[in-house]
Formats: sequence, structure tokens, C-alpha cells
Amino acid sequence: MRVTTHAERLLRTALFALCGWAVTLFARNALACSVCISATEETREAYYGTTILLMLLPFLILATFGGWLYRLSRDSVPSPGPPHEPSQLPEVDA
Amino acid sequence: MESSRAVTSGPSLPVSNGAFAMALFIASEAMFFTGLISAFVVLRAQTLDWPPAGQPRLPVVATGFSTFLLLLSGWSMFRARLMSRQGRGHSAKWLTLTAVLGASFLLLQGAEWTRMIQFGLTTTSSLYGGTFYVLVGAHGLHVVAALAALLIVRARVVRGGYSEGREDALLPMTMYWLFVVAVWPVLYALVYF
Repeated sequence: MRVTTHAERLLRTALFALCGWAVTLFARNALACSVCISATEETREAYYGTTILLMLLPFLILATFGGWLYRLSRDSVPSPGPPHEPSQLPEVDA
Repeated sequence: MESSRAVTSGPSLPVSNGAFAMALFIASEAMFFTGLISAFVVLRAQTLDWPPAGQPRLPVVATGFSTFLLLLSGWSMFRARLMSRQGRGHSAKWLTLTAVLGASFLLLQGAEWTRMIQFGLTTTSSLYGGTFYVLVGAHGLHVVAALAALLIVRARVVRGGYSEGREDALLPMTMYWLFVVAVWPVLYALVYF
């Protein structure tokens, strides 16, 4: 069985990286702007508004369920009983 | 002995595993619907005339009535969970009412879709039709799934499948049904107005 040396592994990784980079030379430009087909102010506002909503929603969901679980765990803790009064303690004869 | 049990059991959740799993599922569903709503809002903002000329107008009043039925089903589901603490017979009655209201909502929506298709509003007729069927159809599929789950839960309640003391046995079902109910008014306000 042939043992791969560290230098060979490094060379193989470098070759893969080079091939990956070479692919980008032949790639065409990608238009990723979802609002480029319409330049109106309404579209821009809708795009920004929904982006903010989608970014904030996970935090809102976490806060809602976290608060719900916290409230349930707080309510499920049994309240401490009344403190012992001196009159209820058994009398000990001296 | 006591200390070893405490170490192995660990801290427990204040809700059942089913309710916690349902909370996670609802979180992913909320993201799914928000994604659809966001796409609809952006697409609608790009269009100058909405609804487009030549496309049929959506029946606001008829859908308003089915919205009312769905909201009523949310209330009856809430009552079913409350009644589950008092006896399975009461709970099954409210679950039946919820299922009937949910099925009525679906039937009305189906009738509305049939009319819309007859008037020429299809998924390929325009962006208006495509977004309408995707948004309303996604919600309709969720109501169908919730209704199927509700019928299974109801059958189990009638058979006495939930043991005594499991007061929150209906909680996951209630959570999902109320989520489906809560999403609809948002979609109704966005799509129909």
C-alpha cells in the first residue's frame, strides 16, 4: 500500500483549487439583483422592507418561543411553603 | 441514589416533546410563508396596475365569509383544548366542530378556485394568477394537512387514546391549527385587497 506524503496531499489540494479558479474564468456574469427589472421607488421600498422582515423574523420567532418557554418554566416552579412558626415546633423538656 | 438520578435525568422542558417539536416546525413554516409573502410584495410593487387589466377580480366578500369560518374554527380548536381537561366527550365535540369549519373553508376556497379558473385566471395567465395560486394554494395545502391531522387526533380522543393526566395532549395540534388560522388573515389582506 502506497503512503501519501504531506507534500503530495498539499499538491493535490492546490491542483483542485487551481481547477476551481480556472472555471471562474469561463463563467459569465450573473445578474443577482432582484429589483433590477424595475427601478421604481415602490419596488426598492418593497425589496428593503421584505429583506428587513426576513432578517428580523428568526429573532422574533426565537424571542416568542423563548419567552413562552421561560414563562412556562417560571410558572411550573413550586412556590415555597409557609415558614415554620415557633409555636408549631415540638416542645422539648429541659 | 437521589443525586445520581438528578445527574442522569438532567433539566426537563416545561412543555412536552411534541409541543416543542411543533414549535420548531411552526418556526420553519413561518419562514416559509414570510418568504412567499416577500416575493409577492416585491412582485406586486413592480407592477403598475394590480390586478392587471383583463384579469378577473378576486371575490372579496365570499372569501371574507370563509375567513370568518376559519377564524371560528380557531376559536373552536382553542375550546377543544380547554375541554380536554374536563372529559373526552366535550373535547371530541369541539374537535368535530373545528373539522367541519375547516372543511367548509376548504370547500368554499375550492368553489372560488373553480370560478376563477373558469374566468381565465390560471397560474400561466399572468403574474397575478401565478402569485395568487402559489400563496393561497400553499395555505390551502396546509389546511388540508391540518385537517387530516385533526381527524386523526379526534379519532384518538374518541377512542380514549390519550391517558388521564395528559392535559396537554392536544397542545401540538392546537398550536398548528392556530398557526394555520393566523396566517390566513395576513394572506387575505395582502392578496385580496
